[in-house]
Amino acid sequence: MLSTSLKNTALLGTDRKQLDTQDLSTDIKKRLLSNDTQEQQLLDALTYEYYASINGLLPPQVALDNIPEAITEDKAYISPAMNLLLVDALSEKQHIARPMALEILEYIASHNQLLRPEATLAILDKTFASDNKISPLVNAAIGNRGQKLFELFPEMQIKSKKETNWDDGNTSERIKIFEKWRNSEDGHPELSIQKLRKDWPSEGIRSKLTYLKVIAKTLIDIDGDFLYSVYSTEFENKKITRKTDKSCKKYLISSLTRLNKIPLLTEINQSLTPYLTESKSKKLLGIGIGGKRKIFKPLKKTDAFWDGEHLSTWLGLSESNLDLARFDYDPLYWLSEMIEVLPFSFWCNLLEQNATTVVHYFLTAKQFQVKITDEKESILLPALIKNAEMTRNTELLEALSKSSYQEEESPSLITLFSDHQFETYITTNKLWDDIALVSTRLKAHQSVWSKNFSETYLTELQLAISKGECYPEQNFGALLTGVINPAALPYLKKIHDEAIYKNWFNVWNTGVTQPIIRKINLTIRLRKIQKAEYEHT
Amino acid sequence: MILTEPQIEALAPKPSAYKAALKIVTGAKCLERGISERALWGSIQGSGKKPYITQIDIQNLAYKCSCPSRQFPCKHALAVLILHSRDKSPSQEEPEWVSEWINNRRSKTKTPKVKKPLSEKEVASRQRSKDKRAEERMAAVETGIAELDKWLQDQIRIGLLELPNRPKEDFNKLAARMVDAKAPGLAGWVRALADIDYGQTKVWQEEATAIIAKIHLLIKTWKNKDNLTPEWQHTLKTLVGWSQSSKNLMSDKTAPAIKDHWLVLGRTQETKDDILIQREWLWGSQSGASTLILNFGTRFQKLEIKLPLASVLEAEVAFFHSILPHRGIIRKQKNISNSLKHTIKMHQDFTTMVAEHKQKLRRHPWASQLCYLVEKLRMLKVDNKWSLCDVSGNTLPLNNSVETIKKWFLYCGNQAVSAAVVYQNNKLRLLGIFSQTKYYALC
Repeated sequence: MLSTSLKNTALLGTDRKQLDTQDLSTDIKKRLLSNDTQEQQLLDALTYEYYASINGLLPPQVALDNIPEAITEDKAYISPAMNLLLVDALSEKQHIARPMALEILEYIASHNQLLRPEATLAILDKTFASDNKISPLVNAAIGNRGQKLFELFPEMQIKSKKETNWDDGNTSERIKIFEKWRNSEDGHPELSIQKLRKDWPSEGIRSKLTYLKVIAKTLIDIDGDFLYSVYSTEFENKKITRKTDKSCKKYLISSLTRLNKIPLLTEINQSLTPYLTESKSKKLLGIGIGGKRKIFKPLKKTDAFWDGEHLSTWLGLSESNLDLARFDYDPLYWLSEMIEVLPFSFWCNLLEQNATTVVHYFLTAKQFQVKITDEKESILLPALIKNAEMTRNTELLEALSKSSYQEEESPSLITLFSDHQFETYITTNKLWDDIALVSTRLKAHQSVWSKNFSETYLTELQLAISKGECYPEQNFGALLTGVINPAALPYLKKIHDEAIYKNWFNVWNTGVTQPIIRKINLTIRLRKIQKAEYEHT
Repeated sequence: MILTEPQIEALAPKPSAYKAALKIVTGAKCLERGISERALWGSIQGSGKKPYITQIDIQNLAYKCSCPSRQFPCKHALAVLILHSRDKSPSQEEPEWVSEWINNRRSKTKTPKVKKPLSEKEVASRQRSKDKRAEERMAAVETGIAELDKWLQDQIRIGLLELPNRPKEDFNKLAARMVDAKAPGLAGWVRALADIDYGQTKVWQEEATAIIAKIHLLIKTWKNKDNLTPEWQHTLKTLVGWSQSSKNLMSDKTAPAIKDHWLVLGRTQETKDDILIQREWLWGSQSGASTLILNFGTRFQKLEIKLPLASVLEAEVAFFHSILPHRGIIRKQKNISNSLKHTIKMHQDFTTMVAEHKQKLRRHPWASQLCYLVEKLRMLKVDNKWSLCDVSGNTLPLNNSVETIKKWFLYCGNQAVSAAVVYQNNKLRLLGIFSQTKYYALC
């Protein structure tokens, strides 16, 4: 911009470099006053040159053929009303925004339309745009111009989980593929076992344990041969010391006994029989089963059966989970480990009782209870929950849903219940005010509750709010929008209207009613737009 | 007045306010709503027993709500605007509480308060005090200018290479002395020197030279001010730091003013020294004039956004006295709409735009934030910088956020479109584009 000589003098300072007026243009030289100081002359020259430079500057040119082609669209844009609806829905909390966005995007895809610019930017801003279910719809709806943005700004690219190949994936990616094969409705369980069988020898012990856990949770008949071959070659009758090896054996035994692939259960049954006795039944659960029933004798003494080394070699049980505060005697600990591993039906057969009675017995028998900080706790409850998590045994889950226990033991259990079991569980344990627990459930299952339960839940929740026992926030209300039965909405309106003048109304309104109303309004708007567009076409 | 939702969103003081307004809309909390030629009103069920009552002056945007929010417009006012944009109800008679407020506003803007006439003695005394204050200020400013001149010469003597080594505190102290000398405009120039990113060698040298040149020219011109026209003197005083009163301009009949349909081109906000500076550019569709509306907000005094982006105001803009009138205020406003009634003339390429800019700089060497309309622009990257290119292949780099660039591609797909830009320091700030018959504000 400035001439080199002038610039150098200005940068170095007149103390070090005198201004050489010979280097300046005649026009500027003429204007400098001879009686001014060096510094004044330099400032004048610098100012003249600066203004001359910006006044003489022309924009640089590029060859016109370097300009990229314009991006055109070959689809029609969504209607302004639909566009507004989507923008409105996206301004809601995730549990309202996501399902609404999904429905709108599916509609857009089915009509081969495009998002308008405002909605494009709004949806690309959402993390759920990367969901496997939503990202293909977004990719189709943003059109060529949206795709161009991805090209120009790669950081905007929707990070849809790319399909990793089993053969190329690392351990964690392979485990994810394995889970997908086994979990999804249209999965490939045969393929999962076929691939795993091939690569099993080269897998590390930790990966093996993870695979066995996944298999245990998704067990099917065709797993039997593979599991048995692993068990017989690597674990059967082998003394193992490493904790991970023991865990592998434990999961193998759990799965194989459930599939009846090894005759262990008869053997265990025979071994446990001496520790059983018959007792006159008291009323259990008020059911009033009379007569004699089998129960465990007091398990206090360690013997050849209740021996850690023996049980570790035989069944892969490990003492690493032993909590001395809970287990006064070693046999009680080993029993809890066995309850975790063996099929729940085994215990029903052993004790010759139904699932509900067995669960009740395990939870309430005196020798299976311990007092910790003045609270009675069942020492076998964690084992029962772990068994339920691993086996998803319906009878066990049903029995647990009917029982009263401390839900902190395993919030994940709440996600395993069927809808009916969940409703029973909340009702039995009066957990109306446990927002965190219900949220855990709702994040995993957004299936609609029964009308009766919806109404009871809303009544009890309102009661809890009125007593100041809970403070649901908008997020919770957004979760509720997906599960409250539509048939319960008139009831919601009734109790809402009755609460308008209560001093806790704001908590109720913001946390429960408003999100539900907003979701309903968005859905109504969507239906109206769809209807209008259908009629128009 | 029918505002579009993007325009209403742009009126929101915060994105969260707009989101909250949308929730009110989807939550069907608006109990009652109405519109007249002058006002829009509604009652909104809030958390209390009584609904909030909101009213909006739609001819000269202003809001009043019974809610305790200190944001203007509040979420309730925004919700009423959104509802009206979606479902236009027919005009009806204003309720009393609305007409009372609107009449009150109109009477305030039209008839200044009648002051008690002063006696001759009082007038003379006041004039004497005023003259004395002006004299004192002039003396203080002269001292400040002399000090700044000396400081500049010192920098030239020891060399500009020393600037990056100078602690920021030194600049701040000098700026504070300029404020003490009642020359806050000069303090701003000094702070600009302090704010340069001295980490980028080439850039800081150019920026520092530009600022020093402007300060030096200002000092030299100031010394010659007695030989200049009143308009020039006014301009110099403004640059040095004499404040411009919007209130005075409202009633200043000598100030240049233009009645026109003004298109709101764009808005930017930046915070400097805890002060929020808001710039809004308007384009007179008939006159071809442009104006910059400046507003300032602080932590305690929030900015009130009154001009919906991309809307057309039928209004009179009054300009502050200057050798190149540019900064203005809206003096009288009749209506707001979304349709342009006139074809707007634009530059065909950057060459004519730059030529006009040079002409303006010749008239006012310190002129800044000048905006232009240019036809058929496309976007491309030159030397890894996003730039706009005209039909002749002239390019100028952009000084916009990535968000604006993204909007460009989504709205026009980089087809040649006419655009509104601010041209400064050989860079462009893209304000919006004309696509078919509509204007879209992009920043």
